Formats: sequence, structure tokens, C-alpha cells
Amino acid sequence: MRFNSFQFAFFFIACWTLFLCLRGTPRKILLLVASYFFYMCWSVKYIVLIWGITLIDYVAGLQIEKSETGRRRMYLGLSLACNIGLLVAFKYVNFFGASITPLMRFAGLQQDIPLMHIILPLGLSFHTFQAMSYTIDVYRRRAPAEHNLLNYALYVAFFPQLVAGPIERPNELLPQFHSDPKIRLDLVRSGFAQTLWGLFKKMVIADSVAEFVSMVYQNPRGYGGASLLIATVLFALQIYCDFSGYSDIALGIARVMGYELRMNFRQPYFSRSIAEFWSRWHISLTTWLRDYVYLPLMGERVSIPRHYMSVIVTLGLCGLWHGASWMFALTGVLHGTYIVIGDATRMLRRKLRSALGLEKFPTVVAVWQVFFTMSLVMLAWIFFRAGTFDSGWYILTHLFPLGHFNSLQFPIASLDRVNAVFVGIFTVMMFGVEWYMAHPERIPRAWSINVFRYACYYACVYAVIFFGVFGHADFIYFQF
Amino acid sequence: MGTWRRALLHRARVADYAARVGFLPQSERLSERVQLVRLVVCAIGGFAALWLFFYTLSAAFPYLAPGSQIVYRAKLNIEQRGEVFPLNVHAQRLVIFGDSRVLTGFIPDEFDRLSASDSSAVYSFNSGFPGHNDFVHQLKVMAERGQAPDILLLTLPWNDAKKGINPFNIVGDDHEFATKIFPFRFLIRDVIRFLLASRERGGPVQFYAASHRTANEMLENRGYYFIAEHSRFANDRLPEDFLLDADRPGVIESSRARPPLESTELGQLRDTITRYHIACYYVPYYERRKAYAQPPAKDEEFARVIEGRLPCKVLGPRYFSYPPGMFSDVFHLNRDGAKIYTQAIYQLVAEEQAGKH
Repeated sequence: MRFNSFQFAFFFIACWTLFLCLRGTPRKILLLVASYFFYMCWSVKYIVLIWGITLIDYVAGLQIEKSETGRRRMYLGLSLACNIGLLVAFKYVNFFGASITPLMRFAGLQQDIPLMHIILPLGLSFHTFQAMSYTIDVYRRRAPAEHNLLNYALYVAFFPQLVAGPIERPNELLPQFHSDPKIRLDLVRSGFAQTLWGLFKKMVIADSVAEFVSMVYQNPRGYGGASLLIATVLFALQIYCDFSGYSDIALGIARVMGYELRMNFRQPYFSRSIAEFWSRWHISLTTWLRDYVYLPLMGERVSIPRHYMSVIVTLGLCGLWHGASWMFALTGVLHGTYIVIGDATRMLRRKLRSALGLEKFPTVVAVWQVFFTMSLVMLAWIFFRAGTFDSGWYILTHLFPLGHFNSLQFPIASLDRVNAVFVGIFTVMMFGVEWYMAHPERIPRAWSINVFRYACYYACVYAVIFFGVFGHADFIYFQF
Repeated sequence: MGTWRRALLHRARVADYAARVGFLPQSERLSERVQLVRLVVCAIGGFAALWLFFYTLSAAFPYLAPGSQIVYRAKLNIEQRGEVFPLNVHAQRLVIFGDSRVLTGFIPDEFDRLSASDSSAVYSFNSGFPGHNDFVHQLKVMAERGQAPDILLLTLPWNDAKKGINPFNIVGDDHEFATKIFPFRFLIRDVIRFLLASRERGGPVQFYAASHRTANEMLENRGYYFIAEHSRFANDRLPEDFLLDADRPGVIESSRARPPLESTELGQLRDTITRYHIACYYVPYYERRKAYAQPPAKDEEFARVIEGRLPCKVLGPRYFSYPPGMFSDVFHLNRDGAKIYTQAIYQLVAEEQAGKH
């Protein structure tokens, strides 16, 4: 079930109405049943995996809490092995097979590892990471084990964040299931507003440009520089609006029910460096990787080379988390390299700015930094989207010269002149609104006038109706 | 900050804290609940008022929509009313279904003229629906109204909708559902397109009147309609060297070649054809030359699927390839092109009919 479908709208209205009528355990049971139903709309049989993860980690958490040192480690190992094993079995087995085969050939073995026909369960990487954070935190004594299975099952399967995050932490989400959430008017209002904003980004912007991006990236050799550049810029727009839109909807509907989820995006395209970009993009994943991969890799003794190595390894793993492909890993390593270079040249750049007298023009410097960061991000998106290194390299090396762009190509991708103009206007508006969100002190006074605010909400609702794409494919991050 | 504002902020903070710890007195808690209901009711009320406003606007100005949409509505209307074939015409009834390519490609007058020159009387109707593929339902409705054709020409496979309610997928097609509950969904885009197009067609008032006449003209032409608003080149002809980056001259177009093997529509189509003894043929649609490669003379796989599941015969290739000069836009034929396409279709059907007799 997609958040941007009528099926979900009906499901949520029914679920929320019942939710408001119930209290205590029946309310939680309702939430859990609704969450399982939500997942089963995608696949009925794979719900067994969710049950499996839930039971294993629930028992592991209890055992870790009450066991001695050696056994604690064993239960943690067991839990991690199950979670990672599940990920490997469903997501990486073919990838490893395909990667090992050439090595075997190189070593003179003529045996091919057969590929398996496996369908990746929806959002597997999200809920396994969330489940792992629970057992690790219990092991590190940062969180108590959850004794109530119903609460723990909700922690794993809570439908707003089940299939594409945010990846929650036990200390933040689990306590919220211990008591009935307070449904407050201001939270309901802000929850619906955020949901609406997410729908706007997903349906009006991301899905409108998706077809053009797809058309060009499926066959980059057929297009000139201008088309490749436009498609690359549009993909950057699409992936941001798609995923941050999803996160907004998830946060919004959870808040309407009285739960708070982690913020996942903080206007990442306004970042002035790649390091800053990663502190604003998919925050729940990057903080997960920071806490459970980067910091353990760094260990006790902090040294610059070890820091650089840890950054590259962590971001390489972050890339691989997105999908079982060397292209994703390459994207991650590329970002890691950006951060390392950025860090290593920080002093030099500061001196250069000072020598050129640019410090007197902080706005110019900021705009340049945002533009440069954005360009580097887009360069990495090329490999992320291209699918193969050949295609990615081709696109990268053929962006210029731009050549001629025939605007008649837009209608082929369901984006005619009028639609294209509106998408442009909405994009500028979207970034404007996001800028205000990042700078709340600059929000115009008109926003505090109820009539104006409600007019904006209704404009947003009807923009979705008038310009939204209905019935489009899933959110991009569902595949991860 | 003013004193009153500070006081308000203080009150809000206290209320916020009180609400969080559950210290709100009963009366306040009730008012919160009442406010919640009021918020929901007001939100729905505002939404409904706007819905009504836009609905009224779109109903009041139906001819702001693109010509193809006006034509679609008019065509749907006469098919629902059973007025496609006049009762006093003694000729074979022929109907061709398809999308906008059929709409702009098949000229019934031309087809009937060719039939007449071969001494057979045919009354044909073009039932091309732009952007829609619900021909099975339309055919069923026509047949039930006593308007079943003798010859049925199809260019598109059936939809894959299955009967019955699936609790995991209640709505099915969101796009269709959205268009049903928000019939004015394209209003703003239509108005802008209308205003842009009206600049070259004598202004909004004249263009609106011309759009009004469009439906009648299409009915006079028995379903044929030339989509003028997409035409951007002189004499409604693309240049002969016209090429898009998206073109795949080395690839055979295959997106329409694999029909769903099981569906409710397939059963309905089969029943209708059998019950009303309709001669059914799958005929080629068309593509711009160099947009795709030339298909083989017959798509054996497609023919096997169609002929194995329907009492229909597949005639000719999956599509004809025509030079850009025969097109008025990237997808649709101009009038000259439409003549050639109609003649090609006639040729295939006539040969098949002659073979039968």
C-alpha cells in the first residue's frame, strides 16, 4: 500500500477513527493489526519475515538483559546473525554470487554461481536495521529490554515507518508505546499539514518528472548533453521530493496519531559541504551508521588516517545498504572521498578565501558553496541512477557540450509545456517553503493569520488534485 | 514583545504542559475534543465547498477541455445512447476501437468509399478514445443497445482488470478513480492550454465557439477527429528529417504486444463477439518511421495469444511505419496520413473478407 494511494487514504481514515475510539491495549492491538494489514497489501506471505524478526529480537533482547557477559554476546550475535542473514539471503546473495564468479574465473575455476530468483521484501533494510539497533542498544545497556511483546511488535512494524523509515531507535520510539498518546489539536493540525506537504512533493513534483528521468536514463546513448543534464538535475529533484516526501508523510500520519518519529531530512540541498549534506539527508540512516559502524570503526584511538578510512568505509556501506550493486557502493565511496578531500583541504580553502578577500562577501561564498556541493551530489547521483558503470560514465562524459534540446520530448514523458512550466513553478515554491522551514525566524507574519494559512493548505490540497500524478509507481526508497 | 503576547505565550506553554501531563480540567479536555471535531468538520466543509466551486466551473464551461476530450465525451454519449449506427442504413456495420492514433488515423468516409468502389456497402464508425482503453465496456453497451457491429476492428489488447473485491487492493486504478471523483482535475491545465491555443484561433470567445462545434463535426465525420491543437508545424506536417532523441529506430515497439492472459474483460469480449456473431480482426496501429524499427510482417507470438483466446484474427504486422511528413505531431497522423492508413486497413480487411467468401 502506497501512502499516495486512495487505498491508503481509506485505510488511514478507518484506522484513525477506530484509533480515536479505543484506549490502552485494544488501541495498540488495532495499530499492530493495521500495520500488518498495511504490509500484507504488498505481500501476504512475507509478513512471516516481520513476525520472525520480531520474535527473534524480542527474545534476544530479554536474554541479553538478564544474561552474563559471555551469553549476552552470544544472544547479540544470534540476533545480528538472523537480521544480517535475512538481509544477505534476500538482498545480497545474488550480488555476492555475481561478484565472486569473475574472481573464480580469474582463478581458473569454470564454475558459475547460479543466480536465485528472489523478490526483495519491501523495506527489509529499514526494519532489520531498526531491529538491530534495539538488540545492540540493549547489549550496550543504552536501552532496557522491552518486556511487552505487543510494544516490541509495534516498534518493528509501526506502519508509518515500516517500509521506508525513518529508522527509529528503541529509546525514542518504544517509550511512546508504553502509554496512550495524547491526541492534541495542534499536533493533529501539524501532522496533517506535514502529510499534505509530503504528498505535494511526491505527487506533484517527484512523480511528474519521473517518467522523463526514466526515459533518458534507460537509454542515455540516445540523448544529447542537454537532455542528459536536464534528466540528471530532475533526478536530483525527484529523489529528494520522493524520499523526503515519504518521510514527511510518515512523520505527519504518526503525529496525527500522537507519535513522534525522527526527522529524516533538513533541507539537504541547501548544504554548504558534503559532510553537512550527510547530516541533513536521510538523517536516521546516517546517524545509525555513525553510531553502529563509524564509531566502532574509529575505536578508542582517534587518528586522521583512521578517521578518513572509517568515513569511506561507512559511506561505502551506506551505498551498499541502498542496493546490492557496485554502483551504489561506488556512490557511497565517492561521497566518502568528497568528505575526506573536503576535510583535508579545509585550511587551504580558508586561506584561499582570505587571500581573495571573499570573507567580505559571505552570501556570495555561501551561494557558491551550495552550488558546488549540489553539483558534487548530482555527479554522484548519476552513478546512483545509471544502473551500470558504463551508462554512468557515458552520462558523465557527455553532459557537455549541451547541444540542441527538442522540447517535444517532454510530452512523450507525460510532461507537456504546461505541465513542465507548473513543475518549474512548484519546484521554486517548494524550495522557498523549505528555506523558510530552515529559517523559521524569517517566516512572514502573514503565516500567523489563520485565513492565509488555511488558504495555503487548501491551495496545496488542490495542487495535488490538479497537478498530482495518481497511480504512479512506488516510492524510490521502497526498493531498498 | 508585547505584554499580551507574552501572556498568551505563557498560557500556551502552561496549556501545553498541562495537556502533556494530563492535568487539563475536564471542561478544557472536552473543548480540545470539540475543537478536534470542529477542525475536521471545517476542513471537510472547506474542501467540499471548493469541490463544488470547481465542479460548477468545469460543468459551466465544458468546451475549455482539449478537443480530444470533448470528442471523447461526445463519442461516449452517442455510444451509450445507442446512436452510432442509423437504423435506416442497410450496410455492414463496422466499428474500429483504439486510442488517439485510431481517432486521428481512421477516416470512416474513406473506408466506406473504398468499400463502395468494391461493390460492398459498409457503414463504419471510428471509436478511437484518446487516453482511454475501455473498449470492451463500450462494445458491450453498444451491443446491448442493438448496435452490435458486423465487423469489429481492434488495435489494442484488453485490460487486465479482474472481477471481485480484493481487500488488499480496493481501489485498483488510482488515476481512473481520481478522475472520477475529481472530474475537474485537468481544469486549470485545460484553461491555460485553451488560452494559449486561442491566441492563434481568433481569441477565447471564438475559440470556445469553435470547440463547441468540434463535437458535432466529429460526429458528422463518424468519430474521426484531427487533433489540431498538438500540431506545431506548417501544413500540419512534421519535417521529413524529424527525429527525437527518444526515438529508437533499431527497436521494435513492444509495449502493446503482450496482452494479459487472464482478465474479466477478456471473458466479456469473448462473450460479446460470440453472442452477436461479430467478425473480429486485430489490425495494425501506426508509428512514425524511425521512432521504432519496422516490425515483422506478422507477430507470431501476438497472433498466437490473441487467436488462442478470442474468436479474432490478427491481420498484418503489429503496426505500420509511416514517414514523418504524414504526421501532424510526434504521435498522430495528419489528414493525408490518415487517408493512407485507412486505405491500408481497408486493404487488409477486404483481402480477409474476400478470402472468406
